[in-house]
Amino acid sequence: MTSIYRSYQAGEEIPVAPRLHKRKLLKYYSREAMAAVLTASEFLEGKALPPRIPFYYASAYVENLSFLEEVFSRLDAYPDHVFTAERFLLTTPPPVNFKMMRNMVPCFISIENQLTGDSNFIVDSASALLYAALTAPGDGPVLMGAGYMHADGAAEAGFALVQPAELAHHPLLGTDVPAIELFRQWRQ
Amino acid sequence: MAAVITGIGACSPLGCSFSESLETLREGRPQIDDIRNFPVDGYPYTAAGEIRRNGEVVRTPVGVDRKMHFLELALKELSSESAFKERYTPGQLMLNLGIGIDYFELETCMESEKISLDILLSNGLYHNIAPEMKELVSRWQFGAGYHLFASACTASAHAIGLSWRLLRRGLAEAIVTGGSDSMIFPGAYLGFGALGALSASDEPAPVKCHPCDLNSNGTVLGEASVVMLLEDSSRASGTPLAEIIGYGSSTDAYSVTDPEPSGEAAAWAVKEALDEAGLKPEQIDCIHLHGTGTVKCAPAEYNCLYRIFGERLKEIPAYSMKGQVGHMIGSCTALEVLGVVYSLQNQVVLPTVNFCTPHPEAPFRMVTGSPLHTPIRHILKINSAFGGHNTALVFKRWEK
Repeated sequence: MTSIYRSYQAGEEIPVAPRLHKRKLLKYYSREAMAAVLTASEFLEGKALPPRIPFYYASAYVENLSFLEEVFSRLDAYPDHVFTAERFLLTTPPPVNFKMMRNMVPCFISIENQLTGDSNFIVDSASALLYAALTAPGDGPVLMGAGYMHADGAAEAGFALVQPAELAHHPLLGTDVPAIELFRQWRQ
Repeated sequence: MAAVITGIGACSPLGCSFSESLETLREGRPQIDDIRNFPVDGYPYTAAGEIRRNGEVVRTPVGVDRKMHFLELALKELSSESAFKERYTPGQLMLNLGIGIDYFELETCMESEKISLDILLSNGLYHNIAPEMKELVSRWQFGAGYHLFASACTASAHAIGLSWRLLRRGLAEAIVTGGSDSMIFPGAYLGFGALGALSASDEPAPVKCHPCDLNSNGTVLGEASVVMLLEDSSRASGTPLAEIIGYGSSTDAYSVTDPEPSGEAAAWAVKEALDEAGLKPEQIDCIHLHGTGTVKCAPAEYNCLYRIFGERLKEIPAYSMKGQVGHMIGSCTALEVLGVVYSLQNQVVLPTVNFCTPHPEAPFRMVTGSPLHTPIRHILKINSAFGGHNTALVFKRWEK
């Protein structure tokens, strides 16, 4: 197994832009997306992946709040504080609304690295991520990843290339521990 | 071992029980209408497939996360019908669900002096699904773990597919799987609409969603909670509703929203599912499509399936449920399993509601008018999602 883990403090620049193949998508990125895409790019650089390698990613639930913060900052400009459909649509263009969709982070990682194999997108669970990898089709390695964006904007990301058999009997199977914990542990 | 579905609990526009849902499917009545659960004055989109009980839209007060409310009802029905809590210990039961985005109340939050995340969180206007699901899991005693999947329109397919893999490899004994989602609240409904996938036509709500039709102009959101018990046939207490025999998935790595038009990656998911099932393409009797009613969906689905079935694709009966009920996003595959079960049990392919004009770039054999009676042993069910996820499940009529 090989793995990588990176963390970025609140407000710290996440220099993903220079590494992007599809830079026009950057406007849709949350800080988790920036951290995850950058970490995946570093991890996979120079590695020859099998075609259609399975890729499973787990994301923490707090990612959704970044979408709401952007919406609030825009709606707060109306002093009468009346919610209308017209105001919402005027102030929250698609780049903001895309962040509402939970699965954008693995989508960006897949696009950047042309990952087209078996996939799954998991909400914040080491157990689900392990089970997905354990039951992956084929007998080759799988790519696992996880991201976690904290309420203050700090972001973590981790990736690993593993053989599924390495994960059998993992102590986090069946637990409700966040997926990023796997990568924190594998870093040590 | 055979992984079989032995019970279903369902709350959807089709009704608030499995039996009522099958009856509404049989009748083919459109269940999409103008939204009743909150005021939509000034909204550019007003149609949705809302959950109904005895034909009436279920209204929930502000503050209630509909997907959690209906999930509870669906679980109660499943528990009552399948007796999973009596037949398995908590340590044998796992919960794997597809879900959507969290419920939040922008409109209520805006009434406060300062609009902020703190106000939203401290006043219970944001329902984080993680702790709510943890409480539900504890109360229902799913002791073998619970896992949530959020790949948008393929979330429940991913949940069901992984459940099947776990069961087949002996990593779980009994799994309640499916999906629960509702984006029928202002922030989500408008936000999703802004992404451009909803029908903005001026047609009446019940005929807005045209799957696989030349005049497809967008989809309509719906909501549903559907859970099913997946277990080894040797443990089943009654006659299984259907058997799952194959599953595959893939990713387009192409676009944030659009399907990859050639269908290449999506076809890999179908091939993987067929290989897992040990089937050749000619053994598929019927295809239940994703069929959203968006402009780009049907041609991409056709190109995907043509890679597998070739010219025979034009002869295989195909069906989409979304014209009748709308698009349930995180629970769409789970709800559409009801259509699969109906087809397998009654040996019919239902007409696709609102399909009128064949699409030259997607000349599927859609059924219109009356149900098509035909021998059906194997059904292919495909779905795809924003973000480029593709899934394929193969179902088999239960045979001892």
